[in-house]
Amino acid sequence: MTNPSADSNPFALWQEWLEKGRDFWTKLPNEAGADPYQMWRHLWQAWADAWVKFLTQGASPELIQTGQKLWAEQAQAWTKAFTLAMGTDAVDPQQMWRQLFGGWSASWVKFFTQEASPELLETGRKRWTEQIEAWTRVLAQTMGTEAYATYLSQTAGQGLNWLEKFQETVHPQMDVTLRMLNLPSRSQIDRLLDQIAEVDKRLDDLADQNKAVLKEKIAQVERGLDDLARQNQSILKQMGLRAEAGTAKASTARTNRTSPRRPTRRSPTRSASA
Amino acid sequence: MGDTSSAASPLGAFKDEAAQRLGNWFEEFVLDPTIPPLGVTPKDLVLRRGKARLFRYRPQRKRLYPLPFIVLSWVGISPKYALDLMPGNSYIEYLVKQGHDVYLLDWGVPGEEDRDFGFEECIFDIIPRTIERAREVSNAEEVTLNGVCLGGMLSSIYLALNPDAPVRNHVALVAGIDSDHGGLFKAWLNDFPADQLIRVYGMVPPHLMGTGFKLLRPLGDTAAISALWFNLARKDYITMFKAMNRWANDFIPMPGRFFLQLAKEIYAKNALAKGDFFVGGQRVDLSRHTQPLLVAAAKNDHIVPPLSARALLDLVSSEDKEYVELPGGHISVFAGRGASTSLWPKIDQWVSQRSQKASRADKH
Repeated sequence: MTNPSADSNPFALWQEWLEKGRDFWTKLPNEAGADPYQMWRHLWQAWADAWVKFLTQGASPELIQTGQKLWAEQAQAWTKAFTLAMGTDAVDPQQMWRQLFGGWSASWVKFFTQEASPELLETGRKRWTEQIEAWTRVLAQTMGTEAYATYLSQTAGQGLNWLEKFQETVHPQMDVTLRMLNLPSRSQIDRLLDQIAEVDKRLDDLADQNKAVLKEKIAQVERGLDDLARQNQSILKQMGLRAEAGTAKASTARTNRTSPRRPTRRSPTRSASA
Repeated sequence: MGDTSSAASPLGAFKDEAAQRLGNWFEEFVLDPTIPPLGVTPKDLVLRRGKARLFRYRPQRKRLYPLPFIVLSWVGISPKYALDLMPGNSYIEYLVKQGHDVYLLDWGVPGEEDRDFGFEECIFDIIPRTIERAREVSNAEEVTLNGVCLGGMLSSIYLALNPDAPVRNHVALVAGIDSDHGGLFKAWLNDFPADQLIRVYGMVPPHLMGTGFKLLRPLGDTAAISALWFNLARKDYITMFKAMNRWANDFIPMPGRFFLQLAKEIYAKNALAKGDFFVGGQRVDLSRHTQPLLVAAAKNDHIVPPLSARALLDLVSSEDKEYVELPGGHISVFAGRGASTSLWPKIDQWVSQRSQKASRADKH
């Protein structure tokens, strides 16, 4: 690997690591030669089994020491697998990152000590922003590769496998322990939540039914009122005809009554008063 | 020693600015680190269905347009106060002040008990009720539907399955349709153990949701902190940073079945764009969408790349359709300073022009 210097381009180191990494994930040495991920699956499985066994073995005076020993053994196993995968030369990944960041920081030191600029801070800010954007592009390019996506899926799958097994092992025990302590267990809370969700849904459905029934009732009442209004109109029409005739007679009668009455009523009064 | 005041030398200016930065940092992050109140535009709850809530925003001026403007938010992922972030920087507040009768459909915070909540519940239950309720409350014949992000995907699917729905206008903001241009999410979800994830968690839990989104831009937080450092002299920037930083780190779960349909059908198989996506046994044919359509995307959107959003224009049968692209990222479309001066006025103008004509039914 190149030594870091103020002029070294950190992205060249990144490119080199990317290429090595591509080989790392696709040309893993294994005995069968057919499945490059077999070694990693075995390693994950062994790791998961060891930790499940450790966590479920129960309390003991040597628990902490056993845990530490297990951690150290696994760290060694992973380091061995990693160096084996990288090739015949033992490579320290930390050295790679040290070189990468060494070159990057050296370039910044050079910028601040040797570049003469009246707007040093502003130029520095611009350079920093450009580098962030460049790193973002490089990372996006790396993470968009099929190899990375496969790695991500496999890692997620392995992690979920472990979690599923852990849940299957631990949940029943936790359930029993909590029930013994008369505390709500996860399964009880889950059932309760499901029931609440079901009740909520039923209430919503009832509200819908009520709304539909209310709408129908209102529509019925409106229809009834419309019918009533129509009946009233026809009755009024009929009444109107009689009323018109009656009115004519009545008005005639009134006229007859009124005309002689008025002069009769008023004249004697006025005549009397006068 | 020489005069080091700002008037005399650059060193003086640097000293003054440094003092102001330190003062601002101390005031805003040590003495009073509280986040400004978010999502404060006054509103009333008008509909509840499960965990979904429909809010109607109170007018801040006379309502000018007869059509309710319904904003359909995304399901899960993050809280919806991003659409109404802060006074002066709120998409919803802007629309209300322009005289629109604004509604927001908030899907709520899903939990493990919502593992069976999927696209069917959204399309056949909640969205039709939302439209009906908005029409009832506002006494309107038709509405404008504005889907944002996943909400835009849902509104597009709804209109494809219900072309005669009482929706006059459709606005789709950063709505991913064609996942062949889906960016990193497409690459990652192609072969992702989605079934296993839902089996273990019942949903996509907030911490995994956050991990997924942060992985899209691993240096995003570094860039945000850097930008804050460069702008520490500006108090308005700090206030905005606090609000955005709060939202950018606030994740909520996604319902289990919804995620399975999204990951396995829409992302992995690109079923929606190809016309192979089924909801409740019905095939979603986007060509049945005929409403006027405005599609907006962001040039540097790493969540919904512009080509993924733009694809909707080519799939619908609408005659009246338009596309706008903003510089900036995904969030800038509904919570950015640039959007408030360019995109939001464009949306307001586009919708208002189409909200005053006679109803669509009368035209046929």
